[in-house]
Amino acid sequence: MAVHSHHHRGQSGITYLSAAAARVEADKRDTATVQKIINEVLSSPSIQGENGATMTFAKETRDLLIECCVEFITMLSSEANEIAEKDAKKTIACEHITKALEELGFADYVPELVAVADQFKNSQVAQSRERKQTKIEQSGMSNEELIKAQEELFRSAGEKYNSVPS
Amino acid sequence: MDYRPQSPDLSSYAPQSPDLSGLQPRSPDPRFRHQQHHQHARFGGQFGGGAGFAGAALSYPTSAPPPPPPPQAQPCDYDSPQPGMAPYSVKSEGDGEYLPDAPSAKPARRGPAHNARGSSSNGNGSQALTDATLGVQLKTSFPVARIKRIMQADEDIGKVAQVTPHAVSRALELFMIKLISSSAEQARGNVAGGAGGAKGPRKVLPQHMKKAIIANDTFDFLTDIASRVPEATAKPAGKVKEGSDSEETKEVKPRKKAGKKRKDSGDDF
Repeated sequence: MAVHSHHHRGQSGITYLSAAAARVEADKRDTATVQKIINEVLSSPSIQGENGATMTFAKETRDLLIECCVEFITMLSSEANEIAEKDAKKTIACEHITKALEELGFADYVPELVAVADQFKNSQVAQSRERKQTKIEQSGMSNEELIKAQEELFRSAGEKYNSVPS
Repeated sequence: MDYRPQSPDLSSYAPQSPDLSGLQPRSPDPRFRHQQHHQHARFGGQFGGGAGFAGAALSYPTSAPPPPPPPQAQPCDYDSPQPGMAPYSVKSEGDGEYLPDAPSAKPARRGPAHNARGSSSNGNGSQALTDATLGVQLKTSFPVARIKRIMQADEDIGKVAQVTPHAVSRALELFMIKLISSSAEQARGNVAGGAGGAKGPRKVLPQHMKKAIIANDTFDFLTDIASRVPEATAKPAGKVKEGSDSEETKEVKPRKKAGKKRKDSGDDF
């Protein structure tokens, strides 16, 4: 469906194709989400016209919007990736995204993203990771000791297994 | 720094109407005062425009210094929709994107949702008017997994931190809000020349989005996509199948509901 735009710098032809393929495939699920967002925006009081009439999006317009969204994500990721590389980092972090947004002229988005990052830090996902890490640290055992303990567990489990008549 | 905000000494403020000669308001002064009261109820934000307004002291943003602001700070958002108010939207966002002459620039500034976001009251250092959400509070967003997938469809992209797709999701929401509302603005702007006298819900067409893309610098990366949208020189009341009348000017008879694709290029109704 979508022709991948010029934006990717130094992309090989293979990447081009795979990007396009990935995009086309899951598109059907996008329309429902996007339609909801469209409705929310168009019915929002701050967007409505003075006569209060609610606009609607033609189907083609919605499809066009989806294309633009995918392009936005792709472009943002590409830019952030370059920034991460310059930063000698292999993982794209939030700050690479915010820098990329600034580069691309979306600096006004940055405060919102910072808020998201903060929320995430306090969220379940981050916290349970944090707890797992701490648990390991708090066990009081060194890595070697931990590995040994694990091997011991495996062995005893194996013995129990083998001793049961199959 | 010892900052002690004191109530401004209003005795030195002659309660005169501010010099609005430069602003060409359509309404006389008494209207300002009237609307001023509305403002109190919702605290629009950059309120420094209190000089000369009775009771303006009440609405100072907590960290803004009291002294009278320059006249150009006067135009605050008003919630009564006055077409004559359009010039005031010049100030509205502090970013250059609002078209001062379009009344539709105003709606993005008004609305309780804007106030509810609180962005205006806590962003004192920055302009605080660059509310990237445009007052919209979304409940829906793109699934994070989907975003991650799109990101990693690009082979150059390696690992991505857990938080990153969430951040991208937020950025995407803001982007969509902007693009949707700009497109709607374009569609609204055409009402005057709209076909079919379409009162009531207007349809936002790809052509409107295309215009919005062209009109906005930050949307430059979309010009390729936009260029594939056919130009509809006729008032787009009907669906135009791409390629069927790409070059010619079609005089499209006004049709109320354009839900179907047109199979033929005939211009008879």
